[in-house]
Amino acid sequence: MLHLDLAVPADWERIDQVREAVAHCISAVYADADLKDALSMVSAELLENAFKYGKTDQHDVLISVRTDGGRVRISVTNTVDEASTHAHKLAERVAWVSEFADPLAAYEAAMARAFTDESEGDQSGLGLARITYEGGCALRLDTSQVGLITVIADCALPAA
Amino acid sequence: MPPTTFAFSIDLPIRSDWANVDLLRTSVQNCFTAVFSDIDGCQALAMVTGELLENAIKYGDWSGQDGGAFRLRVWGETARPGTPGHSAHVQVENPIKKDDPNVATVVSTIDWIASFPSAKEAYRAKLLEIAAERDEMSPSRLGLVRIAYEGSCTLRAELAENVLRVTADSVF
Repeated sequence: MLHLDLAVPADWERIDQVREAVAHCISAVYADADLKDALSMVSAELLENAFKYGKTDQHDVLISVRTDGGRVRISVTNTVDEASTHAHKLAERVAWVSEFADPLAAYEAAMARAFTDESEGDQSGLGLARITYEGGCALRLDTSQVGLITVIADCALPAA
Repeated sequence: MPPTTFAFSIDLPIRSDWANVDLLRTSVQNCFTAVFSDIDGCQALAMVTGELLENAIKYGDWSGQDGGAFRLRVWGETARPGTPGHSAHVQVENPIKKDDPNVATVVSTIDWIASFPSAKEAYRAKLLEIAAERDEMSPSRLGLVRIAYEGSCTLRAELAENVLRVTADSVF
């Protein structure tokens, strides 16, 4: 059983601290180096996205890591400007990544997209594709609360 | 968004002996640093976590069929107007044997620490006591005094259903 909730100030230097915190507690609970690397990477990617695209004056970003049956769920919530198109673009990216039957194919397509289309910039979906492929997670988005976006990554635990 | 808070809770089977203490201590330190960015306070609370976990492993009853589990909970809140500072709480639960004399010693040590006007005086008295101790094998309980003094924490212990729960509360 693992339950970690942190309200992290939107400061880039904090991401490493959280990544390390997640890595160490996943190691303690599961003693699985691959899982530790995967989930700490997922935490860092989700936080980076939240810092990058969140409201410019947002104070905290919430990260939650919880075990739920046979899976670990990592969710990150940030505030967004209501006028921002980010929520819509993010929903499109999550849907696009999730359309691929094979996460590797999504990852390769996102890489190609990042290299070939400069207009995509850093919104190519590469980070999200990395979460599904390297992190082994299923992604979804919760925008049910006005002004808030939550990105949820579900990772099935390896069989004991 | 809610005020800056954090909560950290782990129920952990007792596995790989002492290795978990370091992993969890470091993890808690990283969490504290990420939320509070107060390096001194974070190191002190990581020490508190390590001491409480060590006590749990050392004195817990791990003879059950599945080896048992300990539970670590850490929670806190950053300073806000009207509060004296950041608050943090570290709590460790472990199974105990019925009538285990170590449990009574933990409780009496916490009462003993509270009987001093300051944690520093309790710490000094404990060091003198250890220096005069002839039986080197007896538990020193220095860890609890260290938590009170170096960690600036108030300690409390509760007993329920063969579980000992020790909590360290701190404002920093």
